[in-house]
Amino acid sequence: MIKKYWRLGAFVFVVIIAILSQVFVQQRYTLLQAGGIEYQWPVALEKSASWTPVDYLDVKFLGNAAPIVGTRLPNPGEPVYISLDVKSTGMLAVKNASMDRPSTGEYVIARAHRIHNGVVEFDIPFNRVKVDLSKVDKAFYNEYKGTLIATMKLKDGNGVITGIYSKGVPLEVAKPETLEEQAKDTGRKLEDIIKSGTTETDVRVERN
Amino acid sequence: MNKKIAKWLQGELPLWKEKGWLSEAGQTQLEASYNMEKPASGPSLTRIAVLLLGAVLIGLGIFLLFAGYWYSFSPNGRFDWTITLVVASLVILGLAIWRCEPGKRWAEGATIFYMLALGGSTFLMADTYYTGESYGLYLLIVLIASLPAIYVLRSSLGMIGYLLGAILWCFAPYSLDITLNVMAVWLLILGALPFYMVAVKHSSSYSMLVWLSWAYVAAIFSAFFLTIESNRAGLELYFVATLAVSTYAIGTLMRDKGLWTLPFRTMGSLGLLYVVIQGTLLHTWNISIQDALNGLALTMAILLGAVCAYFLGKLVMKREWVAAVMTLTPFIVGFGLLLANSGAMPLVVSIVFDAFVLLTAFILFLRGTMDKRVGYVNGAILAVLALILARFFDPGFTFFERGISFISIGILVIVVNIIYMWSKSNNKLGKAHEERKARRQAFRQSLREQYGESQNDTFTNEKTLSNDSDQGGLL
Repeated sequence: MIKKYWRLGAFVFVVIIAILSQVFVQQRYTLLQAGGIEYQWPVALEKSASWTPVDYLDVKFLGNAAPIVGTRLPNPGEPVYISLDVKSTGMLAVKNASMDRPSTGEYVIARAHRIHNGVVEFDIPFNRVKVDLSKVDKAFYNEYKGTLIATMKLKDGNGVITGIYSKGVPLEVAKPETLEEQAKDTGRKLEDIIKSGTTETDVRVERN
Repeated sequence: MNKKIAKWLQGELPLWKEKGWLSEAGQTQLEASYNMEKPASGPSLTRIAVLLLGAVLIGLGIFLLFAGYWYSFSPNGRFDWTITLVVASLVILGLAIWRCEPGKRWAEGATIFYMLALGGSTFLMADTYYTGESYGLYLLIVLIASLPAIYVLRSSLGMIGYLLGAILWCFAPYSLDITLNVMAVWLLILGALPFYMVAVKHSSSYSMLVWLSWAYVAAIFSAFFLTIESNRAGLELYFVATLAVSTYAIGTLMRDKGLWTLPFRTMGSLGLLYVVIQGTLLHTWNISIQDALNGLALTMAILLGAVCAYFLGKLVMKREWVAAVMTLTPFIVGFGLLLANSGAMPLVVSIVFDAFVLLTAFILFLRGTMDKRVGYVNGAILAVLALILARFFDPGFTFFERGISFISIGILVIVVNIIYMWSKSNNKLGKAHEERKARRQAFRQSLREQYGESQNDTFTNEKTLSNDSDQGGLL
């Protein structure tokens, strides 16, 4: 009899865990979208090779390097806390990286990629944006040199990307810059984009 | 007999027996006489293969349909599909728990289906609701949710899958804090321990037990590598050496229990080969442990050293001399680390280590040839090969140094072999001479017996003649 109840108990446990695991994955995303604070970050786009039709593009965060503070250095692949400076425009700028969770201010949990001379190159894990690929001009993710702005929701270091814009226009309806404009965009300092909060050409500052 | 008639007769015989025209024995005799095979109760193998092919094609078709349209479903639609898959697998699992005998084919099948369905749906959910988490987190969830099902249905295949998952976890990007990551894998392995112990004692399928052993030992090695990789205490080689010799010692001490101990010996040997390669490389000994050494690492080092000493004692008591010599490896590595840390040149430490490896290889070779154990001879050859390869690719030496030392050793090997061959050939000539002498004596003896002692003079003359001819032959 005990054996029978033990088997039943184990099955009930399995059912609860199996269903909860699916709900956990969904709720984690949904809560971030609903409860996160919205920020912006300059990005570039890529489309990873895939043999199935997908509904997302890969995002490459620009300025993904920071000086390490503290004595402990991360292993490559290890989570690292990136302290962020929030500009008045809503743009985020990287301050520093640490192995300890910052007690104040905004931060993001990234993955250490390479450590060199006290500077850590990091990858931000939530690097996908959902878009309708049938409406997006392919030029945006085929060696596009212009800078795009991603909007994201951040909460407790985790986040999701909510949208992507070219000169303030959603990617699905935006027109890519000409090659000449892209070349000018490439020459523009990242700090200027963060400071101005836009990729518009009228606020460009030439590189010294 | 015509096949058609035979088939007709085969159908008629039971009717005849029913009508009483034919006895049971008569039916059997007729069947044997006309070589009639009794029809098999289930479908034929060809039929099963064709049915399986059909099922695989249907499965691939469904997969392609979903793959093509998956991203056109809304996220909620995808959630519904994955939940449906999970619920279906849970229903099958529930039926298996209720109706099937644990450890049997259906129980195995239901467990594997549940694990695959849960794993697949969790990863599809993670893809839909993407937050960039490492796949390790989802793997951990699937493994935790699978363990009770594996135990309830006593599924060895499920347990092998679980252990493979634990190995994958060791190589996944960190999804928790680094210490928690390490703890999690040891807890996963600990979770599999009761199952493994029961399987060793009461397993009905021996081959399954051997596969389970492979998976279990591989999981322990992976967890160990993750632990030392995360700790970075400067004692990595020592830790690997302790694990390798402990595993090898367990496999050797329990050799008589059966083939399931083979994975222990094999994985232990592979670990030792790794130690030989690393110990030969110069940069291994170019270290300063003090900076990195912490209390936990030191305690672990002492504990593992004690474990190795225990196994060494057991092996000596059991007179397993070769394994006992191999069990000295971590102590030699530890000695090397102490030497290196006290300022000895890396080259000196490396030579001390290599001397030990060569000595062990020599003992292995000697015992292997004496006891005719191919495994030992192969082990010796592999150890020396690993040593040579490590030295060949060691960037610690310049190409000139490596080139000159390889040429010198090569010449030395050839010269030693030539001397050995020359001495052997001399021995052979000497032996041939002895054999001829023995043959002649036997011949004389037989003649003596045949003709009696009166013929003595003739033999003496012949002896003188033959001695002369021998000397001429040698010259």
